[in-house]
Amino acid sequence: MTCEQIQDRLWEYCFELLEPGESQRVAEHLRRCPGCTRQLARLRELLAPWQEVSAPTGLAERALEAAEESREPVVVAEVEPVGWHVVTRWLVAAGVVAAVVLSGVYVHLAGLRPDAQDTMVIAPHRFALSGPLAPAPAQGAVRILVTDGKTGAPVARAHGKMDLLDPTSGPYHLGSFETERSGTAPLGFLLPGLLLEEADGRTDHCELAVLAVSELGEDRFSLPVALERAYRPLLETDQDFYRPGETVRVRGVLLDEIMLRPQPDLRATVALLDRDGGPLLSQETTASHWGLFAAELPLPADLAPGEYRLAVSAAESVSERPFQVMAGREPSSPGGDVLLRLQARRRWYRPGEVVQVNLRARDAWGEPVAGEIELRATIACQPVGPTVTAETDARGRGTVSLALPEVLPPADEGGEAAVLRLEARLRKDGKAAGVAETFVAVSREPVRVAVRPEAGVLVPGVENLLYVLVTRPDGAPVSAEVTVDVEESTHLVSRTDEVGLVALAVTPSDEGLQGTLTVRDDTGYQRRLALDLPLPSPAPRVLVRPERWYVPGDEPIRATVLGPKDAREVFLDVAFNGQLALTRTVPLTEGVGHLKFSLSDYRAEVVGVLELRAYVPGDTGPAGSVARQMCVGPSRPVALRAELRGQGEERRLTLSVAGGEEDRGPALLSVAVSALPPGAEGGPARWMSRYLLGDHAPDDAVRAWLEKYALADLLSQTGAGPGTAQSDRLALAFLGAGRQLLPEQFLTAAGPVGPQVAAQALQVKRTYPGKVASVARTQARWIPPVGVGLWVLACGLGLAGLTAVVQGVWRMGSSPLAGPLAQTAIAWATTVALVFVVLPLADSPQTYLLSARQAEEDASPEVLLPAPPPALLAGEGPIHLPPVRLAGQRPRTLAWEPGVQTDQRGVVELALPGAPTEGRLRVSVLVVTGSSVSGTTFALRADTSSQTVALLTHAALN
Amino acid sequence: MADRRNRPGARSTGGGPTDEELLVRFVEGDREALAELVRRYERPLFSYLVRMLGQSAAAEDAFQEVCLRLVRGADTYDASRLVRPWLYAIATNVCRRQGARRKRQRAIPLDSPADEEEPGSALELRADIVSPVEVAERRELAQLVREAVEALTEHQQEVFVLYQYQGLKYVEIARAVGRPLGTVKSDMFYALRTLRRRLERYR
Repeated sequence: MTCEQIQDRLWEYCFELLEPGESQRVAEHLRRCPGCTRQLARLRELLAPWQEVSAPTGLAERALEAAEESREPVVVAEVEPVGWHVVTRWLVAAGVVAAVVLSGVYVHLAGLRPDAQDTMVIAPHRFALSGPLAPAPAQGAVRILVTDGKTGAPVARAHGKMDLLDPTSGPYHLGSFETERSGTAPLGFLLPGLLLEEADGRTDHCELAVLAVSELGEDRFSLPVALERAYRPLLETDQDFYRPGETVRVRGVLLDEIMLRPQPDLRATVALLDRDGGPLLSQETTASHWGLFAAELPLPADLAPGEYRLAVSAAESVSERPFQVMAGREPSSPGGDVLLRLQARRRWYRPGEVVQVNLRARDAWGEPVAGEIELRATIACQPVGPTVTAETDARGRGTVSLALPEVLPPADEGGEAAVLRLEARLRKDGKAAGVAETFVAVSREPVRVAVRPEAGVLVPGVENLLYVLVTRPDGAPVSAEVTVDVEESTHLVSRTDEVGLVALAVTPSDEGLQGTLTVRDDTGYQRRLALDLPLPSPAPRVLVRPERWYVPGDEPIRATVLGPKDAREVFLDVAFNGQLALTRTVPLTEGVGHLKFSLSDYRAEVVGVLELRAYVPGDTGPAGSVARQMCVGPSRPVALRAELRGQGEERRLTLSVAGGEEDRGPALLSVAVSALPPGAEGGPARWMSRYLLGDHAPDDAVRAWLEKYALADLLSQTGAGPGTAQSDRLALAFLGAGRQLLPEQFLTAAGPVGPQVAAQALQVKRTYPGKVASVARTQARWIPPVGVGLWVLACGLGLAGLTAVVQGVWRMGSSPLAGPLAQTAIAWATTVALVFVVLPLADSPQTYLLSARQAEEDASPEVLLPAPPPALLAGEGPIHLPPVRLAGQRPRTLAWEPGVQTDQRGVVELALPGAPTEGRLRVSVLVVTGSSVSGTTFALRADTSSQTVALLTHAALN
Repeated sequence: MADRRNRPGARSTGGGPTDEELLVRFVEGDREALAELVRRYERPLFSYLVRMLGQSAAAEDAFQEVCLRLVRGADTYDASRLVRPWLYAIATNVCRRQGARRKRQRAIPLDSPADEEEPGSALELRADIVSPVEVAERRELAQLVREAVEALTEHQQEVFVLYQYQGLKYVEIARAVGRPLGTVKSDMFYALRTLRRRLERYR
């Protein structure tokens, strides 16, 4: 070995780390080599300085004394295993990690996560049940939505069931469901009327018990729901106003609310109420087996004139209608006892022209009145010119002229057009005696253009039909060529039809529809208008286009759904007579979907209104949907043939019921015939309006009413008969095409849902405050439940306790395992307890019931179709009621037959002694057959021998 | 090696009782035997504790702790085994426990100036040092060695100190630190390699 090799090994040699042989060789070398020996010495010198240190004085004694003081034996490790505290730490850490991991694996294997699943049910909080005569049980439907509680993503293939928990009759299984790809499940069911039989009342408070199970968890909760059987008494009186001492004849039919079927043998109370609701007269009556009832209330001779109400109540459902009582020749109309009639000679004027107005003054019973007239003209409450005076002569007639200014006040249309209000006041013997008003259109332009999208609002991105109505300022139709240009890309030309209407297909962008609209009439007059139709906010994304507006009940109902190109499906909710009856998911191909369904359970006998709402899953809510309506009627409508025969006292009216169900047998008719005074205006549509409104309403209100209740198509569909005024037809055609019902009318149908449950629930509530159906939301519970966690905790604690005991037994022994084991066990137990007990407790199942209480008006029987606007009835607000035209409009009752049965051929004959041979008769008929309730009111020319009219179903009638 | 001469013998070579005999007598009730044993190990154990803990004050506490454990654990003593490694094992455990605490106070120097003034400080024991310059050099060198030893891992440090300064054999060290002999030698090997790398140039 060289010195270098030796010196390389000096450290190992010095510390006896060399193999014995090698060590021997190094020692031999060192004996011979002084250099290496010196190196070794230097190494030892280098390491030497850190020598022993002397202990402080008395260290041993002090230590011994301290040791003597505590002589209790303790466990002392002879040799503690290497870094046991380190091992302990690792064990504890490993325990914690393992517990968490194992818990996670377990939870994952069990398919469970905290707050894993949200379930929401959009359901009405009340269901109306069908009556005993209904052909089928009422349908109900809800939509169930299951989403991931963390992400809000829809959960497909979640399944579950829904039961009706009735405290009196036990659970009733409504149906099972499985969610679709959209995370929702439409659930439709039947609600047999028998459900109420044991509840011994009209309303049964139950619960909808919902169970929803998915891979993520399980929700189980219940919603309060009320089952009700509500009735709709339909009322009619023979007159609109009475004199004290006259008899009020009341007739009507009691229908169940949902199926509109007559309710037999139900007791009803007919009461006369004063303005404050205090009862003056009442009469008990029982509806016949056909649901018809009638009553006659003799008014006291000293009854004070004023407004009264007639109320019919049956089984807590109340229906009311107002009527006037006027005293003989001293009517108490606000303007005096003279009735003025104003009529402009033309329907519209240009600025600068002279308006000529004919005046006619009569007292309440038709006698002409001579007096002084003051005529005031206003446009938008601004006076136009000075007050003009005139007189009526002995025949009660007069004429007044008024020059219109060249410049119109800037009212609605920037001075281009305005509505001139003419108010005439009559003074007789120096006292105010009467007042009347009329409205005249003033326009610089001879053509008026109205534009309306088919759905009422534009739906961007899909094809919308745009209705353009071209009229004269007074509403007369104009045959014209209509051109629409939108952003150079769209150029549409078409001609209006006989009512001045044209439909153009346009596709609005996200900004709405901007372009120009040009109208050229047959005289060559051209009008160019800017077309600017904004989108509502939020803009709907889906357009439902019903195939037709009137569908016989036994035919399939088809509709086209136009939606966004990127949407694979849309939700569709269908309400029948206000009750959600069907929920569907319609697949879209290239943004177009087709829907076909039939009300098979109802067959041909169904009558009512269907409302369709479609929306894209995940959209912001019901505000994003547009409701479209369809009328459903009998497949074979009942027609009525009326024939007048004979002369003088022998005048007879023969009514024949034809069509309809073949096997219906004899029908029951309720007939009222009255003679209309000469000159009474209006065709069936107008009469229908008046019948419905129960009052003489201005045209705007009639129009609104028609629009609101979609009567227009029904009237034209059923051929309302001759005598319809052109203006009525015009209004009906246009309004029928573009009608849109108010959304709050069918709240129970509303419940569009999307995946974001919380947002949706809030949105739904916000959109329909106080009206919306119950919205429930739950959070999933942890499974395994707390019990399993407690079991695991007990095991852990037991293990820890056992370890402690072992430790105690070994306390004087040197068990190095006792401490670490105990710590580890406690760590495990704590972790497990945290995971399985504390977390589940902290995140225990929660149920949010956003159960909106229904507004008070929903409790009234006016649910299906609300009453006319209160302002209209009360004569308040912006709608102005003209004074009652006593002599002009009060019909004379010729026949009043609340219940008359036809023979087997469906024919009944009524005697009309003293019926006039001029003018018209108003015939109001209710027809109750074995399968339907229908009716109509029509004008029959007194000199016409016969006339056939179709009957309207009561879905439309009221 | 010269320093190994100073160590207490595993067994008394003189006429006195061995460590083991003293401990047995103490267990049997002879308190004087304990005092004798403690006095016998006072200096080497204290040195060891100072080396491992770096501070005299901490070493004093540790020494008391060792005595306490000795007294309390005497009952469990297996008479067939040597006392010396057992005592060093107790001391090692105490050091480890205190060392864990000490590590959190790394900023405190191993040998504070106050310690240098104490009598019995390492360098003053060297009788053959004559030149003040040499004294300074030695002091500096000792500081380097201390730092180098301190830089070793805990296990290496234990083994190195027990061998180099306490004069324990590897077998005894293995018992004292509770590790197998092979592991102890391995620790020593790596300790030497580290020290050599740091101290070679000063040799």
